[in-house]
Amino acid sequence: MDPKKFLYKGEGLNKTAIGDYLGERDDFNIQVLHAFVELHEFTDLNLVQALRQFLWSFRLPGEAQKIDRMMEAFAQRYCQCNPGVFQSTDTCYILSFAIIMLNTSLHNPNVKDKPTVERFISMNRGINDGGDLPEELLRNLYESIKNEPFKIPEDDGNDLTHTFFNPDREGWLLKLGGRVKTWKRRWFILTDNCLYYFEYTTDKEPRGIIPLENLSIREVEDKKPNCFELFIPDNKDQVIKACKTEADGRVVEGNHTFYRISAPTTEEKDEWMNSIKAAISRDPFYEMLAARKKKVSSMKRH
Amino acid sequence: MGLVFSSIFSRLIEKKQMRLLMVGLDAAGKTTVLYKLKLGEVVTTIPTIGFNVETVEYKNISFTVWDVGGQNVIRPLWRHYYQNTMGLIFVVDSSDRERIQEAALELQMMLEEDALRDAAVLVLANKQDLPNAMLVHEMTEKLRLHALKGRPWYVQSTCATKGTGLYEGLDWLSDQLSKR
Repeated sequence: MDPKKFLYKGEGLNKTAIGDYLGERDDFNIQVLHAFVELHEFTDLNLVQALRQFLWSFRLPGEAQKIDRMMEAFAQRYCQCNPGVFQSTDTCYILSFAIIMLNTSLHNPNVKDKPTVERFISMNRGINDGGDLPEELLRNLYESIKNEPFKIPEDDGNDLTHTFFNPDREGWLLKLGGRVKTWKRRWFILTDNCLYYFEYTTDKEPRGIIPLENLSIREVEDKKPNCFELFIPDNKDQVIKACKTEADGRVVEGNHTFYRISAPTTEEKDEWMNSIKAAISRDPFYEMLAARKKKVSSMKRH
Repeated sequence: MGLVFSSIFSRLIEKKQMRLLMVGLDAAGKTTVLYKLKLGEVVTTIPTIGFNVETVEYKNISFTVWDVGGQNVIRPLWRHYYQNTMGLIFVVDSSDRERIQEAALELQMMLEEDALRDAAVLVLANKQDLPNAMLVHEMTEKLRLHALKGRPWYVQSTCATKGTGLYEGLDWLSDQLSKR
């Protein structure tokens, strides 16, 4: 696999290590940095949005020279994706560098002297090929960084995308609401004895998590076709242990006594039911035992 | 009278603040210097995306050190950070004879900055543990420090990975500050 794609898509890579590698001064590292940046798509994003996306893909190192090379590469790519937004690539590069300085000044607790928006504007005088950038643009940038610092990227080890890599099954299903009985289209992922659902396939974090432990599954008739439901055997009024994320970001306990789900086709319903049944009946203790047995028998053979 | 008293009082209890810039070529050892100085202190700060900035408390002085640098087009941005900077820490890889002229040029450019005309210059002749490292007198000559007029400077040999020489450097800086 070539290095840039390995860094961009590689699973389980530490983002600090990626940042250190991309920041090195060797010609080859600089080439990889440029190739890496070109894998990013910044079209129609404003500069701060693009920077947020870029800075999520690796951990930006703290050395000024490294940041300098990275912002230069970033600016070239940004201007390539968005021709006409900046007069020159240099303007975009200097402004991007100034935004990193601003994030440091506003949010690093070691910096006591917090700059005002006026200081940020005066700092950027003349960076547009000798002219000034529109004041409103600078004010908006300042407010955006002040209200929302750049996030520290999570390493893939903690990143949920790692959990959802290679699931038992995934696909679109309809889910009946717990309190409000409406059908919502959700992206479902079955993995590690849990059922996760998302609003969009690209979401990093699920809207809901349903551990399958102690649940049963059965086919049901509903107005929607191809329905099945998850329920607690012998206890029809008990709320199923699960959680979901509210629109405002709060994580709350689920309110379902059963989960009713509709699949697009009969085949998919059967496949989902079989996969979920297999997940429910899988006992981690039994699996561990099986693994041990296998190990012992292979040792005997040698 | 009350005013005089309160100013003496605040001088007694308040830590002096000293803003420092740290400059040097790539791989001179700036980051190691910064985090070695920080060792032994309880670090509870939340990590922030951006430049390395650390506060080091030493001898009742609070040093705030910024890692500064970049290509020429970036320099105007840093000028806004040079105001009230009392010292410049210039870190050099003493074993890198190939790039010592480049380092000298970098130092020269910083010293030409108007806002830094009064700043004290501490040169850390780093990586003294490596073979063929330049010693203090050779470094002084290569960086043409004797030509500096009207500002205090000092060359301290260091090995940042081991931590040797770093606090001697800070001692010199704090002496400079107390003279002001």
